[in-house]
Amino acid sequence: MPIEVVNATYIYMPGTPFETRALDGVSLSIADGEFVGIIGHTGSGKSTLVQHLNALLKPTLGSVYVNGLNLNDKDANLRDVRRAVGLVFQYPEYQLFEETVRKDIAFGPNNLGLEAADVEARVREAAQIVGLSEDLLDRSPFELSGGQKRRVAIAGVLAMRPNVLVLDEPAAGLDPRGRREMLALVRDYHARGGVTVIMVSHSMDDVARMCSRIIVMNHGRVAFDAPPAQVFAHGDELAAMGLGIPACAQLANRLREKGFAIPKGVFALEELAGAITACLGAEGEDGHA
Amino acid sequence: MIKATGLTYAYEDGFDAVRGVDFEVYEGEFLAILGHNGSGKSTLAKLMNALFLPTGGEICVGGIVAKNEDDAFRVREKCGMVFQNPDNQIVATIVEEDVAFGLENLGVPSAEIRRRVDAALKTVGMEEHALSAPHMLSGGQKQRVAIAGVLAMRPEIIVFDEATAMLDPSGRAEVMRVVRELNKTGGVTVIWITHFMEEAAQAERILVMDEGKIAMQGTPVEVFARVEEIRALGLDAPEMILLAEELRKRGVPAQNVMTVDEMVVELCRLKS
Amino acid sequence: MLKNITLGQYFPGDSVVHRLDPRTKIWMTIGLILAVFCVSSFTGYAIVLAYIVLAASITGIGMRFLVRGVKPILAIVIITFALNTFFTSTGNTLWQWNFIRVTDVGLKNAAFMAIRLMLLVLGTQILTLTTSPIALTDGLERMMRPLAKIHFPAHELAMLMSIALRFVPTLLEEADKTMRAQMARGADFESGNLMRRARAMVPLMVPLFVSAFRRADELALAMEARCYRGGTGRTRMKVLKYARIDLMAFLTLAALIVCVVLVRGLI
Repeated sequence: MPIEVVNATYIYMPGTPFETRALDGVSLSIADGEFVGIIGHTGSGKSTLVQHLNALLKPTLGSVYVNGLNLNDKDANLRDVRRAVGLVFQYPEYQLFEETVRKDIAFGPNNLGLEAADVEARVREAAQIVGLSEDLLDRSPFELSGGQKRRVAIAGVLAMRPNVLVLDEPAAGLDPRGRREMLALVRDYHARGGVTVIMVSHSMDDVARMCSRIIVMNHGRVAFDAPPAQVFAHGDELAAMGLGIPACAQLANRLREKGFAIPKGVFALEELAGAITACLGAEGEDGHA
Repeated sequence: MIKATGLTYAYEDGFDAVRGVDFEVYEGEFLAILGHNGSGKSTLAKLMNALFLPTGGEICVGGIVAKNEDDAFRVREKCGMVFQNPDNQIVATIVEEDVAFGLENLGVPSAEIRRRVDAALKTVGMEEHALSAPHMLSGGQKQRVAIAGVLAMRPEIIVFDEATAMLDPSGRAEVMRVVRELNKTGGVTVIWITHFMEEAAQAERILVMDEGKIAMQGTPVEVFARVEEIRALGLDAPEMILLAEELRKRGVPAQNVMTVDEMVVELCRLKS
Repeated sequence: MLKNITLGQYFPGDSVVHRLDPRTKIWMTIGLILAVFCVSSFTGYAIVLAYIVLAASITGIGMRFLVRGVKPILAIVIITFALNTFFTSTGNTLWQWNFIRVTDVGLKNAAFMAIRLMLLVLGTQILTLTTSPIALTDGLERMMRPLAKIHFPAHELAMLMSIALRFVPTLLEEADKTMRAQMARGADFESGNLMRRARAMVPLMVPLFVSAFRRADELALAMEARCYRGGTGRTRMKVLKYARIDLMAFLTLAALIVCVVLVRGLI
């Protein structure tokens, strides 16, 4: 289910003193099975952009195509689009409303008009993917811990079996262990295959570790759209946009300036340690000898 | 500044969030408190400014042991607090009126309120937004307003309960800068509760909470050196600490580094 | 969507109207409301409208913004118009079908009612758009202070109102976001009959209530942390004082009322 955004511009509250251009001529395409990170500071347009992907927002100018279908078309079936492109909002746990976890996860599938047995199967499958045990399904979602609530909310979107999963800051506000687990969950979900995952984040570290491609948004425009290593080469420009690059990538850049022979594209911790050891290695061994 | 002995707090449903904790906070220090969700750090924060009164043990804040509501009022004057959610701690619909809220509660005369509000807004760099509506500000700006509101009351201690958890990196940096400045030049004792290890690394001292007790304490270098323990407590060490460990495994003796700058210096030293 | 509702939102500015004492603006709004009800001619309404347009231009907000505020109550205006048109039985019949009859008097009454409603909204909006909710509640608190003698909780009421106003934009934004999140899960808020639509609101209302309670809890704690303990012993940063411009404002209102009374005889 490829996605194509062509020259999309979105203006919030046009004609009022609060008018803002949240998107400004954005063009990009996302192929099947990709794992894309979208990053930018608050107000850079990243959240507005992802809401265009399932037609919650429609561009003021330009167009968005999902699987070749123009979402601006009058007869485009938006419910199909919203099923195919699952969107998990920021702090999704605040949307829970049902009496039981099971019912809440079933909300999406029920809206699709599926048979009860099919809905149940999807609920179980989604709960299993997010790591919610069977016995939690009949509990009230409001009794669960923050991390568990978020899993329920994500399961609610997964139960619609989207072809493209979009997550807006899935790890925001969690403690370090919660973050690790949540990011592992997203990575594993993508690794199962057959889905495109788009993760919005303001953490370069998370995006760098997981995605094969990073789209950097700034002032409603695409500032960079490239693999992580290429994006991190623009450390100063990113800093000017209020974004930091991961500590290891920073270190690699700084060491290169100091004459260390760190190969381009090395920023993962273990790789970097290897590269640094190699740089120091010769002298180190001499010293020992 | 703060001295706790056998400090205990149990919620009405019987859950004891803080279990017999002893610790001290020294005047003018920057103390970070770490711990996973539910480790009791937030409860501890609320005990420090008498929003909760201990169910066991004792906590003395700025020389006052709060026993009743009147004492609690005096403790809160000495020890301010900034909360996690910027939206849920701003009372007024105009920035400067919100900053004035605490002073109005204390019964400070009007002219004096005006002076202190202006000064506090200036300190946090929000004087240009004095007449703005809070919901039009960014998260980092809202938190700076919240800090100004506490600052105007001239507390000796400010507790920040995950004040950066809901902010983006630039918002976090902006709040952190203001708080460090307050600590350094303003002489305010800062208690910084956080999930971000990079922020804790900037503190003078760290307390790690687990299961309502203090699991570790020491300087950031001391605490983060124990990477395995930190991990077991559901936390993480800053990247450079992890890298240094990885390097040591490979025979590169990188020592005492916590930041990128320190690592660059250390590696250059090793290289030469 | 929901964000576009401007009714009752403060529009920061520094015009003469903004700087008036909130009590002045409240009294003037009351005066304006009385004037609107006293008027019984189109000329009178035109004068009131002119007064409002003039005031709006002084505020710097502009009529377009004000007119937008009328939109949410348009349905009420139309219903009022319809009721008055169809259920007035006096006057000359212009058109009739079964028991429904349209008379010239009915049509005139309907037009008057509709105009009145719209003028009321336009007029009161000038108050709410130019007065920060806090100033508004301050004003009300001061005006109600004498009632404290009979144990009327003036401060508590004012605090309640100001907090409610503070959270209106926050909750509207949240409602908007929750609505979209549920739409992303296939929820449909727009089609179906009344029953279905009412049921479709559950996924929106439950999260909103839960969140409002959580916010209230946290806010109460944050207020306590800043030493709040009710109205006793409290001072204010801004002390209300009537000034020359307040007197001038009252004079313009007096002039309006005189004009309205003078044109009573006209249509």
